[in-house]
Amino acid sequence: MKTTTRSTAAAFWILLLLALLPGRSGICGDGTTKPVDAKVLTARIRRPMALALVDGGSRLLTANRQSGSISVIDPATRRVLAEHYVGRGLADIVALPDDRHVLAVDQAGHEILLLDGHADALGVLARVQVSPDPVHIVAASDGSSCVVASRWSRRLTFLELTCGRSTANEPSLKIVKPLDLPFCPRELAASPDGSKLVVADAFGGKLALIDWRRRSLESVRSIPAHNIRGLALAADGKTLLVAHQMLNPLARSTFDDLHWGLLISNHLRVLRLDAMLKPDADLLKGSGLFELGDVGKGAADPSGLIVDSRGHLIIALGGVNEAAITQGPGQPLRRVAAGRRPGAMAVSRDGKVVYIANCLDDTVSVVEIDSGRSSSPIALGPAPEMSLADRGERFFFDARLSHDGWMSCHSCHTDGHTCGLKSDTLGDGSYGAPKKIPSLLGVGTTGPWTWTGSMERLEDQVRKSIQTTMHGPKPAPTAEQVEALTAYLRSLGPLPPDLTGGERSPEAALLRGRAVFQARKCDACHAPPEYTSPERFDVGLTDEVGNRRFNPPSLRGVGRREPLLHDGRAGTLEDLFQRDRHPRESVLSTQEIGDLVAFLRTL
Amino acid sequence: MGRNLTTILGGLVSAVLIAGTLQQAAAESPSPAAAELKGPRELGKHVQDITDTVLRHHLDPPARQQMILAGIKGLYEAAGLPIPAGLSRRVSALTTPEQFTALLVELWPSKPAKSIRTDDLAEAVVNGLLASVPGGAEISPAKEHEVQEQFQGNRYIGIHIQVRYDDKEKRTVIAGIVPGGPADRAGMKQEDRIEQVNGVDTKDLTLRQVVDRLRGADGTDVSVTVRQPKGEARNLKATRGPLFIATITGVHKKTSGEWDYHLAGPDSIGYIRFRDIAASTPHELRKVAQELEGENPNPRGLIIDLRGLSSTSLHPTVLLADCLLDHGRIGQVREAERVMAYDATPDALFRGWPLVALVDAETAHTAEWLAAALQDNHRAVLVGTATQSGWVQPRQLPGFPAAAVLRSSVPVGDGAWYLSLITARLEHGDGRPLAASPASLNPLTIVLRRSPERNAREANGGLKPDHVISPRNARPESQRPTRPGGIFGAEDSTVDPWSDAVLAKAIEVLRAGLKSF
Repeated sequence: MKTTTRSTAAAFWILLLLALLPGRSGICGDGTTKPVDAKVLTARIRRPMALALVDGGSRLLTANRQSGSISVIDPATRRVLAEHYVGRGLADIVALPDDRHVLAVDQAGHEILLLDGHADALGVLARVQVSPDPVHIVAASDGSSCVVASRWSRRLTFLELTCGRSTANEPSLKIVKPLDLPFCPRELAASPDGSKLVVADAFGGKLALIDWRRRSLESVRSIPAHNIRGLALAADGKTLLVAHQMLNPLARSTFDDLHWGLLISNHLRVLRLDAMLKPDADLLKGSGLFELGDVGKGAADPSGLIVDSRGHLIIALGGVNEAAITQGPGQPLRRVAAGRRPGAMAVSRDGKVVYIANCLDDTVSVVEIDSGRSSSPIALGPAPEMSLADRGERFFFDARLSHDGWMSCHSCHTDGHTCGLKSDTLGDGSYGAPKKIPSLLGVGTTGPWTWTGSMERLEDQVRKSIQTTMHGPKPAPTAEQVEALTAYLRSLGPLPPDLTGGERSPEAALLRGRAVFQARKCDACHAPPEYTSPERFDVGLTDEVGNRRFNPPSLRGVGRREPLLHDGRAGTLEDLFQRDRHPRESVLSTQEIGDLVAFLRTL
Repeated sequence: MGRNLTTILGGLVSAVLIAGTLQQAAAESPSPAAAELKGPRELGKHVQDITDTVLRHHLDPPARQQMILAGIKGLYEAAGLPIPAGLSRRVSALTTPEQFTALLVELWPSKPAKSIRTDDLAEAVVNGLLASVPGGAEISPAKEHEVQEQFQGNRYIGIHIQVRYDDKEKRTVIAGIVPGGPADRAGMKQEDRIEQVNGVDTKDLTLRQVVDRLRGADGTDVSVTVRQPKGEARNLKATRGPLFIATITGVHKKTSGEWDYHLAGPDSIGYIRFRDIAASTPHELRKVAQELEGENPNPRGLIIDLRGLSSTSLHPTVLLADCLLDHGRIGQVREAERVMAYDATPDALFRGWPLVALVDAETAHTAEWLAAALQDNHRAVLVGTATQSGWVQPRQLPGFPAAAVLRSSVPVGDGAWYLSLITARLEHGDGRPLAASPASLNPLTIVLRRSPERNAREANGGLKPDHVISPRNARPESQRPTRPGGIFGAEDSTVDPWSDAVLAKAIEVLRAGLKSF
């Protein structure tokens, strides 16, 4: 798992640096932080993932994932005033209604931080451990509660707050209830009255409706979408705006299909909120779908969405380093330049400018909403020399590696994982047999590559994907691009074990499941520690063009790799054994399947 | 690619061929099938590759020996010699490529009865062989295939002119120019004689050779010297670029040059007509949908005109059907050894709108398959005359129904050549062939264009419209009135319910449906 591994490494270095460098900030014993003065900001990678305005809009805060810090910016002077190292790797930050306190999500530290943002002090008032991999947070409009989405844990955590309101007593933050979801959550949006919450899939197209007051799951529905990276209520309060991508499994990765926007496309979808709130309503009826790009000008990787008080929509386009501004769905789009991989945004209190966090070059763009003019971006601090893998990360999220900017690697391999869909590429040597897009987490140690195991070198597969799927630079990507991308892929660790899996199944079941795994000789193909092997096996499956021998995928994190098998025919691990009888018509008892699945989910 | 785009876009060559200079072009340029073949040994390998391709890809391939026998017979006919005795028996005994090559060397006519070049003898072998392939087959060099792929992608790279060959002057002549295209911008004019291309005199070049020199990669320049019949020579330079031709048109063109998709009348009804199904078509449909769905109020129904549309491009048809269907099976495609089923993905354009699709006896191949998908999934009501289930008709008429088949272009050997042949049968989603009863394909086929009445009478297969219009009242596409509007200033069909009984019926059906909708 890339984020955790890299962030963990970053956290290690942070701690080391804290010990070595005089004058750097540290998390003090009393919970407050000592800021780094802007004059002594060190050269390091920060990765701003979220923005929040506090103090009447006079301070802009960035939550930095790589450095675990919060940068404090004065929007008036467009200068970084200070940087506070408060966690291991921050993914989100939100200001509370009192305009003083903020909540920060420490993705790498699996914590929610309550901070006092008054007078640039940014002291940590409370830390609460939540389920691993928290990525997003939404606070109630009255500041009394918040909800956190933990991605790999497939869980929401409901928390109560006592300091979000101006009349608050002692500041406190406590967990009220965890709620398990059937998918990995990411984006969150509350209904206008705060009674309901919509939660979007971090990879695929599922949307869950949550009753916030009862803290219960009401419905889970799917829309034809993946990479949902923007979820917001429209200004009218009647529609839900969703920024996402679409991948057509009937299309092929030919030049024509990419060129005409048939393979992958980038969209704003407008869903009726009343349909969303009714679990049995047809979600697509009366919905609208708007293209963000066009032939000749793709709009890869919608990566953020914000609605200003006048109803403008601003959508960050992470793959093409731009943002699109429109007066409303279906209205003309104006595309404006941003930095590398723009994502999170905040609109100034006067509604005139939008701040855009550019994750991959550690800057914040400032764009006038009406004119689209932008001034020079605000740098969060000095940049260090980038490693090969760091450069590869930039390429991974860069749609300029594709024809007309329709897609980046991330468009299908979402955050290095998979969007969960099928695609008909030349990965298996021919068109006609769409294959499930594989996760790239841990890919460096699971060769040979492709479903048919035809690629002995990861570099060759990287080059082939750029040439035959993305139809990128002609005649071929540079050696530097391929090397850097490969180095980045090799830096991606495997999916982390499902830490919540153990909670869900009794120890005895896990032991029985392990015994089934061994007795059935699953490890003949899926051999530990990566739970794969370099051979190709005929497991009784034939694809549409006659391939029968497949390279077994790693089972690390298999519980979050669904759907399974080369064509994604098994929707769940249970289906894999009950319905598809993997491998080779194996028959297992219900008890055996239950135990085996429980065991597999812990890998 | 449907015949519309191939005749318009492919005008660089086909317009000339249609214009009657086919014989000259054929006489002056060596056959693509045999141009680079030196003799029987090399030909042996080529024939082996072709027969391999037919056996691997054809829907119902003949035996290899049968194809070889036809090839050798073609050779002897071309040489004006009698077929050697016992030839069938000897060919039947062949089991290896080496044996075939040896036989070809042995039988190669050392003294043809008439004067004929080796190239032409080789061509006769290939042509004889291809004629024995059920449904016929055509071979073309990879370069030509690339151009066909550009047509299919609706991004033909060129300077956007149509040419013909002038027999008297022995010159290639510009017959049409796309307004605003590279040639137009460079100052080329209709009736210009092309005298030089990149400094090479075209006097001794065939039309095909001139076209080859005019073609090139996107963004590259070509220098051309042209002259009006009595004018001065002009040296012009054009930059090659992609040519896009709308495959979807509407009721009429607005002064802005964009299509208007609204039919006049008390009810707001949209109308779109598919001129072809190319890679761009689903994208074009999305654009139309974005426009019509965004209107307030938007049209309450849509007419999709599939008349006269004979598309052979399966893949874009699948994607187009997926655009229109919210769910359900689009259809099946049966190859010799496998069946592919295509299912629509969730969501659709014009979701919830009443649709009427217009069909006629010329709605064929994948266009007919699309109409079947819309009808089978209750997505559209079909109005018109019965479709014909393909234009490939066996010679042994009557009573021998045709099947809707798919013709594809597949590589031969190492990919230097491509073979176009029948690779699959098009079926309904439940596996029924589009034709009423599946027919075996006859090797000798002809394309029939008959009266609509006779077509309807003899149609054994095809889709039955939900509302059948008498063929007498439904003018076929080829006989519909026309008006100016094509890319070369050519003519274009009008859309007029007053003179179009099928369209009038479609409007009636939609209006009746809208009342209860």
